[in-house]
Amino acid sequence: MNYRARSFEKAFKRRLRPALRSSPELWKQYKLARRRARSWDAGTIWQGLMASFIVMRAMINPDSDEPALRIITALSLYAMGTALNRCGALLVRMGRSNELLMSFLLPIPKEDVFHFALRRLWLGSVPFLFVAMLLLARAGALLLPWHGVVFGLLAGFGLWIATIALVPALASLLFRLPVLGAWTGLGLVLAACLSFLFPLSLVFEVYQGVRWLPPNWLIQGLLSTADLGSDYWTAWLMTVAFVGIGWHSLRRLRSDFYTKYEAVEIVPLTVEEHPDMDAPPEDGVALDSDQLRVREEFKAQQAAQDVLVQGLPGGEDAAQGWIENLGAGLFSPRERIVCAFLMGDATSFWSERWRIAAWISIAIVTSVALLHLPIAIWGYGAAIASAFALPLFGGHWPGWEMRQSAAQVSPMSVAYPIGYWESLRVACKANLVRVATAIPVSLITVIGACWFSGQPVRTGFLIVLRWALVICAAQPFMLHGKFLFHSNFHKSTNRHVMGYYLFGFLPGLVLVVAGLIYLVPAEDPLWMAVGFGLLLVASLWMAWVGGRLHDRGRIDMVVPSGEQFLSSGS
Amino acid sequence: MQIRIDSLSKKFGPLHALENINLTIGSGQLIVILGANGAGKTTLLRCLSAMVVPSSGTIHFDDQLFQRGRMDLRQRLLFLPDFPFVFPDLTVLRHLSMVLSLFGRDGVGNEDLAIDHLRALDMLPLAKSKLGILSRGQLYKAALAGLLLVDPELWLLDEPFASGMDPNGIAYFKEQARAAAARGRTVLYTTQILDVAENFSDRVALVDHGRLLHFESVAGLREKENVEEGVLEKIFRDLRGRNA
Repeated sequence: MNYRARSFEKAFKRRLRPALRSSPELWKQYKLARRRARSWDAGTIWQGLMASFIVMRAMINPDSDEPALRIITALSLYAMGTALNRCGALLVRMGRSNELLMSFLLPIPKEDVFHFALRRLWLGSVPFLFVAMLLLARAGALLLPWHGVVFGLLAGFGLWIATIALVPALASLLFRLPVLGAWTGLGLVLAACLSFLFPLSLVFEVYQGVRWLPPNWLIQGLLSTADLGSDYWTAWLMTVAFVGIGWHSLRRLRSDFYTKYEAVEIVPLTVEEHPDMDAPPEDGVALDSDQLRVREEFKAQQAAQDVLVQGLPGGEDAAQGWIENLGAGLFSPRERIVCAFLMGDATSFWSERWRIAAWISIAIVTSVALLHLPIAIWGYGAAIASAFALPLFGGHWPGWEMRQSAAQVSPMSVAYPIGYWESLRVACKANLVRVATAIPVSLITVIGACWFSGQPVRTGFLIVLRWALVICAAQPFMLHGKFLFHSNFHKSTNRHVMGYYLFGFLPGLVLVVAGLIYLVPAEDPLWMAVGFGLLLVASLWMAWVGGRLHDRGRIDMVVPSGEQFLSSGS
Repeated sequence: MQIRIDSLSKKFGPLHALENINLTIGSGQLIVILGANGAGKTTLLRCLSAMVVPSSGTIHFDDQLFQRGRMDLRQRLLFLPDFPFVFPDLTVLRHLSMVLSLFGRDGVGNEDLAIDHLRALDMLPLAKSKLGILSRGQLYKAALAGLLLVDPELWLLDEPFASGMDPNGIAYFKEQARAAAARGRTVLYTTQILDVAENFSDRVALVDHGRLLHFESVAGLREKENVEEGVLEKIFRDLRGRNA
């Protein structure tokens, strides 16, 4: 949306400077405000750094072992990650963004809102265009004669178009889970960066899964157009099909958005009806208004006593799931209060997600077995089920959601006396319970897959065990990230924040990467255990340093609206 | 609660939101923080609630250094922002219940007090309604009821008189804040309504471009400025003339 009165702006700017210059105090304030507006945004810089890393790593290419395979694997992950991330951003923009709220309050047509969301979609994926063109040019040069570079550049452009076309199709599948889509996408982009550090054997394994992703079909096909390989026609047909599906999904998305937009009620100012309050008295005698009022008050008092006497959040209307009840058994009374706060109104969220994961796992195992589908399909099913059942990024905690306060936003928990360490302890315990309850679900899919692919069942057990331990070890790090994401740490350049990066985050990251790549996949149980120990120590170290930053008051728990870490540019 | 603020400064980039604030506030006072838009009023409240941290300087509560990690001190204050932080799907009662639990005041006996506060704020019939469907004023009343129930030693309220509360809610808040100050609680609030500030405060803290210009009683300001009525309005007029 770009509403501007250009002639007014021009005339205003001409008048502004002399008006400000007339008063030294006003001029000083103006200069200060201008300098403040130019502050840097680490969120954008991190995203740029990730993209640059992928390109540079591929270009430098110090090792000669299958460089094209590495590039294609990384690019496939990056393309899928970008599609998912953009899909999440698109859904958030169309569902609950500030722009959407503004459009309700101002005379802005719905078409403009929709087009604005689309423009942000393709603008946000421009870094991917550059990465795709550069990487495929490099891959083209490695695989084909001299003209491979040219075809690589064209293939990069085609891949970008197809990836953008994939976004609306994904959006119609993920419309209820925009945040999950965005985070999964970010995870894949990170995996793309890290894949250049993987040992070749691991790259091969990742490639086996990646080759079933739609972007990879295109990469393979588009590159084969250079030598008129067997996939020549398939590639172009696929590109056309992608664009066709994308176009169709986009039309559907637009029609859904317009329908919803017109049906939205902004803020209902009336109180919800209580039908039971209007029930006639038992003796059939009509009550006068005073009696009715007394009756209402009596009912409200009864309800108040019912809830307050319990002393804890939750009442008769807060049904908890079985995993939540299981977790509650591990908490002290204070921890139970903190947990109830952090969970907010999502009192059966974990159990619901577990149920969905269980159904997905059963469906995947059954369909792979009955339809003899490729085993990679199982991999995707397991990944989706994991995303539901496991707290991959620390879990969903409404108590840390952002709320508006003056012109900024802050996490809810900051307005209440809830400490960093107790929150971390509670969330870690709860997440460990979730991991433990997810293990049987994972075993169904993994052992099923081993069975059908002729692998020993022990391999399946080891995969689940490794996966579960990695997620458990990552929890302190993931959860401390929730505090930092909701603070202004990415805007701060004070020595404490720099100290966090230098002595907390970077050493921790090195330990995590080293542990994940070299030790966790080891066959020797001792080295494997050392790897998990290393992960846990790194994760706790980062959480401890972050805790010091938080508790010593080195960061503000206030962020200007729309400037939360990793939300910029989306 | 004795509050001591020493050389408190807060910078956002090059902007000094607060600059060298020195202030000592005894218990049992009702203090209004005044200032133009962007003067630093909300930042001062946020520093006092540990939501933001000073770039330099310290805050002491009863001679104990206040930092975000001091949960014991944080349980002695409650900050009510202009838009209260609540879960929209919780009912009013569950919100009160949650706040009581978090402040460790969940003992039996609070229910009568809760009912009294809700009744006085005309919120009793809404006790079982979800916060997400309430009007802005009603939402603020629900959050205010939480503050009244907890009755912390330090009340921090951002713009309570621009919160959408109806006259009855405002009158009840005033009555309760006065009573709290009489009980030894310290109440700090911000407002832009000078009439309210003049008649509903023990002392006025006037902030301008992050600096504390005055910290005096209204009577003291009247004497200083030699004005009987509308002293705050005069001070603001003079300030604006100086800044323009």
